[in-house]
Amino acid sequence: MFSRGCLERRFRMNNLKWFFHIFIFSGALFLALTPMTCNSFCLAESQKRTSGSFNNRVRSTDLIENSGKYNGRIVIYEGEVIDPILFVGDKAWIAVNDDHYSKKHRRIYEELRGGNSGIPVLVDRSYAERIRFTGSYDASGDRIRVTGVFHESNPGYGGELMIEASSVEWIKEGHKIEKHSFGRTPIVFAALFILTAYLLILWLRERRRAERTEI
Amino acid sequence: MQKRSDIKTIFENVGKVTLGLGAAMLIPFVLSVALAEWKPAFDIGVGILSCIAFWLVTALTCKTDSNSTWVVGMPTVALSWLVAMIFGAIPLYLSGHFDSFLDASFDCMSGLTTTGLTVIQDLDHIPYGINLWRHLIMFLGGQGIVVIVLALFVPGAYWAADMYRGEGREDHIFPNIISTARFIWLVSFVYLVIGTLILWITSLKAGMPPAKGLFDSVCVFMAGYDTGGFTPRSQGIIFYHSVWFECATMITMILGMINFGVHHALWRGKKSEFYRNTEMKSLAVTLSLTVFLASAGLAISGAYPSVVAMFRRGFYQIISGHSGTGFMTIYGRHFVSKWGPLALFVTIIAMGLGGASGSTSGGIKAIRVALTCRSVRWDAKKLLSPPDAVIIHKYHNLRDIVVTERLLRGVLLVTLCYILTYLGGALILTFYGYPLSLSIFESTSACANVGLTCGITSHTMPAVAKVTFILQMWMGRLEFISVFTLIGYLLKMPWRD
Repeated sequence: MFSRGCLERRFRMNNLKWFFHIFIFSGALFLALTPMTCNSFCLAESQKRTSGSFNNRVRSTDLIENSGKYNGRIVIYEGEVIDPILFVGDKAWIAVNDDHYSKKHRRIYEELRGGNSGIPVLVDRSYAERIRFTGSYDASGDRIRVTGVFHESNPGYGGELMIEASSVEWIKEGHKIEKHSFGRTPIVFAALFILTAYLLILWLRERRRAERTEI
Repeated sequence: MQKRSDIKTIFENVGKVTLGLGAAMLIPFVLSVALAEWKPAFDIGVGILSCIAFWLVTALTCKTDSNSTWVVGMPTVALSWLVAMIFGAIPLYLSGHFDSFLDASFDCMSGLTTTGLTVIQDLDHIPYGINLWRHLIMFLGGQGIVVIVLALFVPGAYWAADMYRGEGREDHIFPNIISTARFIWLVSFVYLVIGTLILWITSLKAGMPPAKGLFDSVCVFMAGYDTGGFTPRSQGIIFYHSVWFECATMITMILGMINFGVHHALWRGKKSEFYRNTEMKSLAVTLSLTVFLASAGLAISGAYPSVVAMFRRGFYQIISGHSGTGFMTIYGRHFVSKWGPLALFVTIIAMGLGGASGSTSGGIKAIRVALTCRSVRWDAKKLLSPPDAVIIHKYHNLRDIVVTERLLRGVLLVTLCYILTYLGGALILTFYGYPLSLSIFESTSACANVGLTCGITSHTMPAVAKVTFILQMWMGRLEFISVFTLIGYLLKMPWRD
């Protein structure tokens, strides 16, 4: 016979075992399935690499939509360097956008032309250190041309979609944005300020009157 | 017919919620001033003044004696979220990164409901103040904006329990709702500090400059812990190129998808709650199954070249989808072009199921999944039992709860509402020519407040689709009941007579 405490302990242990069995089981299946994937993927990639590389100017949308087609090939890609640059050892990660805003910095209230679009590029630290401006709110980033191997899913970098750059050329240097257009915002601000102040006075009066009535 | 005083009470409370929202805008306002971003400071300033003006108007015109009925709680919540969307969208719209006020409202509702779908344009050139506001609305929405007001402005409101339930929370950590709300905020701030610190260290390791790393860590933690999904960079989590950063966000997402009551139990050293909780078991089963099936799907399609790649791209997306976060380590179009039908389908299922009740994740919720599945077994058992047998069923969620017919009916009703809304949204998208599978994916993502996208959500989407998503996000976050109550309330308004 089991005492009540013993039964409770057993119950807790069973719960705990059951909980972890599921995780271990699924983890094992996960690990068992991935080598199958790896073999087919690596074979396909090696076949593509041996079939010869070719120079090709590409856009980020092409690379994302047809990543399999460009995998392992040398590509030429250009765009604006986006803030910040991530320095890791003797390499650096730069985000290079080739959207509409990369060609011409959009002033506030100028026409919008869609979301940002870009590709991560891994470059030598020496190249990254030469970049003067990176795209942000107050700067238009350097526009560069990158030549390198495109990876649909680079196993060396955790399956990243990326370009491993062999060379970088500068097309146009970026610049600081000194002045931002305010539009009509300050006028709206001033009008709202006056309205709010007026309402606040009314509310304070009302409150004082209510307090007096209570007394 | 509704009492006039009730209607006034609703607007008075909505005004207080708006004031709370305006107070929250002070944080990005201060940041903008500190960084000398004057244009965004004006944008946020307009937002603050609008919130104060609206509150003053409601305070002057809707002053009531406290003789309102209990029915005000749910409509107040539902209306508060719509009004908060409009006022929260003001700084976003003025920033000049949205085509229309509808687009800004879309992003604001997406933030408040912790969805993470976005139609913002040129995110990489956005000022810090506005970027912080995008993430802060996620934190406010995740914790429950009405809960904030309860904790700060409405001490002892007797309809507080309704408001609390109306925001999709059912966990009563303390007998008093206001104490519960305050505790939730205390724990969230503790997690915010610890989580931000961990993410900051990992971001520094990934090569981020310290100040920008800190900013990104705060934003990503707020979005991750509240199972939101906005990121400060257009490339999402891909931008950081760090397995440690991804692991830290994964832990953040898992923390966010757990019931707050379980957090409280663990906080107090009651580890057994973690293993006994029916919802935790349900989550373990659905998470394991979806991970396994998605792995099988990705193996069939041959999407990734190594175990690590599979973990960082496949496993991560399933956690992100199941928790309702929506962080992405892949490009959205790859769901379509690389993942294959099985993995895509499993991701839809994971998104639809959602996390735990009493957490910030959306979707059907683990407890409803568990009870729906168990009810089938219970029905079979009942059929095999003698007719006069009395069978009592229980489940454990912070305490032992007896399952009643009424409870089961409520569970099945909400589950059905979610499924119909997933399909309804997809139907509208297919009407505009989007493929069926992608429409279901995007519609489920919106209604379950996930934020994963396969490329449909963008500023070019038709306005009707944007409005549909806004309504789906709103109804999904509030779990339908308070929305139904608001509709019912409007149908009984005095002017109808």
